[in-house]
Amino acid sequence: MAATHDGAHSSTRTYWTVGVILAIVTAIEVVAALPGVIYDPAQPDPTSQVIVLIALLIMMLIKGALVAMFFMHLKGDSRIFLLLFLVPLLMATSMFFALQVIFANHGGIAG
Amino acid sequence: MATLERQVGHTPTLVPSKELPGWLGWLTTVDHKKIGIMYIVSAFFFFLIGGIEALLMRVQLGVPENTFLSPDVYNQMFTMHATTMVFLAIMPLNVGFGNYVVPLMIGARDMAFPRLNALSIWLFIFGGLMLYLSFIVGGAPAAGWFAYAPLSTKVFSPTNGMDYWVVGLTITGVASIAGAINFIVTIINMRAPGMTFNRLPLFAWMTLIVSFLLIFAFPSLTVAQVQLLFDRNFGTGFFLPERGGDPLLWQHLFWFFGHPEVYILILPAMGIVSEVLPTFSRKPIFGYAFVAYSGVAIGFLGFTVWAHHMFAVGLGPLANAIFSAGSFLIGVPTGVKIFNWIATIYGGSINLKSPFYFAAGFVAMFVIGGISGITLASPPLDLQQTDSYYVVAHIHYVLFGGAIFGLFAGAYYWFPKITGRMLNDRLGKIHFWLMLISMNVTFFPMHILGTEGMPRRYYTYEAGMGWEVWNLLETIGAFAMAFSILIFIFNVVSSLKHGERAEADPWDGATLEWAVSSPPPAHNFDRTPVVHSRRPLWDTKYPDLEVAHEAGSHGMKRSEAVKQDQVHHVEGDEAIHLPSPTFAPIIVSFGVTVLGFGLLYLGTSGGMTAIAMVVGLVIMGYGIVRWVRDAHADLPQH
Amino acid sequence: MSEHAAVAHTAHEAGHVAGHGTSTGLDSRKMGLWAFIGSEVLIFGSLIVTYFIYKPINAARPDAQLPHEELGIMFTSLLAAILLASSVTMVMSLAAARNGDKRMFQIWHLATIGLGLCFLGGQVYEFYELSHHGLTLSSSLLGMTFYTLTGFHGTHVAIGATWLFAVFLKVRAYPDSPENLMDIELSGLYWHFVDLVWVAVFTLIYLLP
Repeated sequence: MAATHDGAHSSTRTYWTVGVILAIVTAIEVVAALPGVIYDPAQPDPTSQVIVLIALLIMMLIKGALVAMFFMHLKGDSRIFLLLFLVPLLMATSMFFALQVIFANHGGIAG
Repeated sequence: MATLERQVGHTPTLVPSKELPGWLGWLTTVDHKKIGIMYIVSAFFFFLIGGIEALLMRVQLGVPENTFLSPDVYNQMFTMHATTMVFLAIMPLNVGFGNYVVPLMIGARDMAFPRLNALSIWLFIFGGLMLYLSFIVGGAPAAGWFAYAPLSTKVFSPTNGMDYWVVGLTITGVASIAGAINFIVTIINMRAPGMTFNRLPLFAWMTLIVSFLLIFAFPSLTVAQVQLLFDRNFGTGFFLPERGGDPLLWQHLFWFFGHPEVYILILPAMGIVSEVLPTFSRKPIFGYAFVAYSGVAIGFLGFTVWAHHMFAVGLGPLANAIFSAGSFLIGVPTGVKIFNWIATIYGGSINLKSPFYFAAGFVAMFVIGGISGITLASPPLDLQQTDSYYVVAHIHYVLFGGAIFGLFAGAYYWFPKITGRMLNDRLGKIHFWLMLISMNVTFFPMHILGTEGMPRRYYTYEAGMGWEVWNLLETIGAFAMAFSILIFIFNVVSSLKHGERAEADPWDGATLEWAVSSPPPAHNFDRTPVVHSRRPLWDTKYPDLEVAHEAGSHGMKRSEAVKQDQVHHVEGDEAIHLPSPTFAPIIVSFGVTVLGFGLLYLGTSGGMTAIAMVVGLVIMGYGIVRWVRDAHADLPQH
Repeated sequence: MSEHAAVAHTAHEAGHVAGHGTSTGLDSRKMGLWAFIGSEVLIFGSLIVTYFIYKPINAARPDAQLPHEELGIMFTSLLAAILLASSVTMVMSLAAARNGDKRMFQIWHLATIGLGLCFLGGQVYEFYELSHHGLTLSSSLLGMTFYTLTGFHGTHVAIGATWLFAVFLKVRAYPDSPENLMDIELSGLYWHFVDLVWVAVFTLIYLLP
């Protein structure tokens, strides 16, 4: 008959572990974003700006993945749920890049 | 009456219906069939109003420099005509037929979420009424159905009309998203045993694809509308250049929704045609998988071509080229469907009845509309054609010649199932020919007018442009179209009273809705059917014909297919328990509407409207509590 | 029936009921909620896209207000931590319910709501402070996009907290309902999604240079 449990549930220890990791990554994020630590807005420097950008984005994705996989239980659940979440996420990301390109090139008809 | 399985022993116990009598029954129903009827009737009502708005415009344009409608009223007409036809007519007609037919087609007793279904119909009705209220409280929206900024902002649209447009469509938008979620879960999760996706009827396939388009496209519109509401009422400048905003952002966000929207409008009609043509050709659809997957392709590609509505705004040649390429590409899966439909008819034993006429008419008219669409996909051509009557021609060939013809095909096809009566076939054919001819008389000259430079959305034109003859012809054609619709209405009314009684399966159909009586009992099926092919009813009725053209089953008889399937499970003799009627959905919908009114006037009236919003929330809260209680009371053990 | 046993009865039944009779074996309501979450991804996506379109334009304008100057990181880091903590309490609440521990379920569940309300209170306070410093909906493109995006998010937090509280009351009123576990799980899913959006918003709006 139909599955009665959507995969084995994580233990509460797993949840606490994930929670601690989230706290640590958030702390690192905040420190990394503080002016002067990597990037200083008073002396804008493209290299450090890119470094901080990439670092923050990676940490954001780690946190998001942890919340989605463990708290929202996407890890271990049916792939249908994963798709229902990932496909629009990919669409939103594509929309972002497409519009960034379009709005960056505010040329006329001739480009 | 064709049955799918031999009734073994006794039929399961049916809990007696608790439907309230009369009007109350309609207000509280959660039955997909009744809700489907409500969608179809109210959408048809809006269709007629939208048609009247069109006729008024055609009167104004019948002669040059006419003074029948003032410019401002004319603007309200074209705005409301399009908004009505898109959001209040075609979409709910699609959903109405989907609601009625899809659960039957997949062998289910109802939609996955019957109460949510009721919420959708009431939100739709209240949202539509709210939109029309604008006419009498200061003026309807008049910035076009796509409401370009800055025309739609406060400076150029000072009445509350645009706010009504925003809030009214947001309410109907919530109805649409809820309905789409309902269809997605129903079609994925409530199919009868044996009905794999490979055996799903094409109308159900298209409904599923459209539902995904809906939940992924509407958010962009919702965000754009909220931003517009904020610009108009709360001092922001999302689309106001003087504040740093960009009117083009509106266009991007709107068309990111708007292009998938046109596929939302047409795919269900294509699904209907994919049901009607095989039934009336007495042949399986040619290339089932191609038709299904081309629908998926159209849905996916539909999200990548939005800026072909913006070729004239100055995106630059690279962007134009990319969107143009995508737009040409979308013609391919569409063409695939056309060829599959023609191949379905070819060699068939045609049953020349009204549904077939309208379905064939769809194919012919949609080809014409598709061709003008292809020319519009070319940026250099589009620069001349955009905002001219050429586009109006294209729109109406695909939406009237396409979607509306498809919907009429569905109406003639499923009327017997829904009402238990046959429509008069001769009147149906008269309706068809008159509508087909008058439609072409009305819309074909628009290609010419557009090419000659007549702009759209202008309330009049100068004498001496050489446009007079065509415009007058179009006006005459429009009235002939209206007359053909009157024939249909007469047919419906007289058939409801005196029409020939319909049997369960008047068309020798292949899909499951024809397995039950006309109209079906409240619980749809006595026993959940078990499905062994794409054409479950043809299998049952013609057991010695081969179960044709399915991977692995070519040349196999039904009895062998049954054995091979290993799907033997049918639901046990448990009681059929239908969800009970409830007032909760209409109460919640009403609360949402009151909240909407408050939101609408919040920028202009402050205090009073904040109270309205609170009242709306309280009503919603009460409705939700009632919903939870009624849902709990409905659980099987009670 | 003891409190402990009442929820255990529910857990057993819920395990039996979820996904029963469906084509995929998955619970219909859960599938519906994930579809809804997918839709919401695009709503917040569109708002974030708008923010980033206007970010450089804002910086180039005379009335520019810059995120790193206007938006304080430390206070909002606390808010971010609160919301993440509320996700932890939420999964603990669901786990307790699944174990049949009614008392711990209530404690964790109320804790989640409480943390959510703290977040909301903090946001209100932040908005108050910011507007007093001159950042309003109409003061600049930053104000415009910032308040719209975070306002949308805050509204979702409020809806989520209300939903959580409604589930709390419902489970209390109908302790034997086989739907309770799924009700709790669904409200939790929505709550985690709201937290997920904040993970993105916090980084993209507050932290990014």
